[in-house]
Amino acid sequence: MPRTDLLRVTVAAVALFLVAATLALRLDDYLLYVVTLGAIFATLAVSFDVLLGYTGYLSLAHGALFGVGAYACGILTAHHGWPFWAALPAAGLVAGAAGAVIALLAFRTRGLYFAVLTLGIGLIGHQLFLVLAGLTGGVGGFVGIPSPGRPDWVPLDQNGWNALLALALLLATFLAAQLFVRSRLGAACLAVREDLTLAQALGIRVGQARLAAFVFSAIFTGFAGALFAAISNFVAPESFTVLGAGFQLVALVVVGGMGTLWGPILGAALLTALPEALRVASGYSLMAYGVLLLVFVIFAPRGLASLATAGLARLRTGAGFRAAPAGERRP
Amino acid sequence: MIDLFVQQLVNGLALGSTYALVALGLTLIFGVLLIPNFAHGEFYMLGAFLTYAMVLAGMNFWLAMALAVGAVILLGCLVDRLAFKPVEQAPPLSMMISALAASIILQQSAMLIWGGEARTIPAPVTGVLRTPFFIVTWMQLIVMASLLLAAAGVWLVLNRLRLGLAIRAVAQNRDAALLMGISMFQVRLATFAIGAALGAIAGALLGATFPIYPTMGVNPVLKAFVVLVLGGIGSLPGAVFGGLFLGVVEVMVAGYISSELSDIGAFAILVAVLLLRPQGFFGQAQVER
Repeated sequence: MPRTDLLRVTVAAVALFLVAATLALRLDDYLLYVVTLGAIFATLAVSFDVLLGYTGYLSLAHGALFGVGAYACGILTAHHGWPFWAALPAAGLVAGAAGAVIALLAFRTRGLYFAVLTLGIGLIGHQLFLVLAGLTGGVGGFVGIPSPGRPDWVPLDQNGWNALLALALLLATFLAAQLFVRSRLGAACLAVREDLTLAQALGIRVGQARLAAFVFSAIFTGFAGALFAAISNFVAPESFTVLGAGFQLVALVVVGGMGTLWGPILGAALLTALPEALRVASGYSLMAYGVLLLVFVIFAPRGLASLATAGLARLRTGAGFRAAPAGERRP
Repeated sequence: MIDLFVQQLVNGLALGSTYALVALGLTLIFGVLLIPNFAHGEFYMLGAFLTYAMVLAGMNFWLAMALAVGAVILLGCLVDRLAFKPVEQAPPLSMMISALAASIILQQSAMLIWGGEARTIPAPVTGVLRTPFFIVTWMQLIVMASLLLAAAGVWLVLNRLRLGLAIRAVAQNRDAALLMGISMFQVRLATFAIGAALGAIAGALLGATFPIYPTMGVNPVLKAFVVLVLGGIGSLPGAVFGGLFLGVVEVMVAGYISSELSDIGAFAILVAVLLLRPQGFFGQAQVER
């Protein structure tokens, strides 16, 4: 049963990817860039949700992990001449290793302490990007990161290729996350989220499960960082602050719907599309994030995903709904 | 050599006093209501900006500060009502997210009103006090004195007033306090009022020394969380001593090692303390039930 379910999800995801890619490639360059960025943030949101939504830990260090991936890719490609396709997995591994160290420190605490501890680590990370100017270019930023190499047989320009890569990374992350949350480890993560003490009492290896969730999310955050660096050709520490990127991730996942993997994609699509659709100054976009976050956490704590599910359910029962009052008897 | 050390110590205590003032309000709200109030930094920022606006309109600094504190108290109660009360029954994660959202909204509102550039409030008191061992500005002394007054004031309210008794009862056991007929409404209001007032005072005083800008609350509130963890969450002496300790450490790291590393030093201490003594210096170990 779960296997056929997974098959259905995979087919649906691949189909959606193909539709999204075909539609996106018809857009003009500016909108294509918005789609590319949106896909990168959706990738971040999906991997973050494995930790926040499925394991129940609010990490504020992921902005820095995103930066670790980006700088790792930049250093390897620009300074050491690695091709992008070698730097991408390496950046994921570096971010994963950093994530493992952070996780080993942070999981000694929980709840608010976990949030505060990861916040401290996120701040240290951001400061290190500034201080280690020899490696990262410091406050001026890291320039000259080569774009991801495009094979000759691809009939696309660089912008189209970038968008395709970002969408493909999103697809890969989504499928990997689907596999992860359906695995035994994923089930153990859910148990940790619901009741840590009970999970321990049942003999579930909670340490292993939540470490796996953290490292999983760190690796894919690193991939997203690497692609972000290669596509932008330039990165600076401002992109990886706790209250910028770190907070944005929380917003995307909460608005989209914690604990579903497609919800965060909706959230990322909405929150990247919204500022573009409204064509407002960038100053308002952070404000919109705050307001949306507050509205969702109060009125729809399970996010867009729950609203969409409820809407679909109502549509489906719509026919029966109209007939119901006559036959219904109130107790 | 010794002179330099004493001077650094005084500077550290002055800096630490501001951390302690911010942390005092934060720890009170967290200790009593279990709200991780990220928006506390914005109370601090608005205390500074409202004072600035009124001083600019020609008002006396101290009067402006008193009015600003009053305004921030009202705002604090409003934030509680709009952002925290609705998620009271939700899991703690919702409370944290709600607090982050409130913080961003207040910050961006200030950005829209006053713009992003840094400003300064004309200092009400200038000049320095010279002693044989160190030099200290009068503003620094006022900040340190305010910390002492604020800490004493909070202690008096908590330990000598009926309201304080109610607040402590809620902090100890919310359900039992409610059964004893304590009005949660009053306790919430009082706690948020005191907390917001402490934040606003710190902001107004700091604004007279350092530049003010809409995101100025971010760093102090993060430092205040560090202080909270250092001192033990919900412990008032912990907030005071933790704040002073953090200030001294930062100044010493900046003075003797490198000023670039002072923030890293502060957060590294946070990580170390959380690992070695998660309940903080003054906190009690949490028993899980």
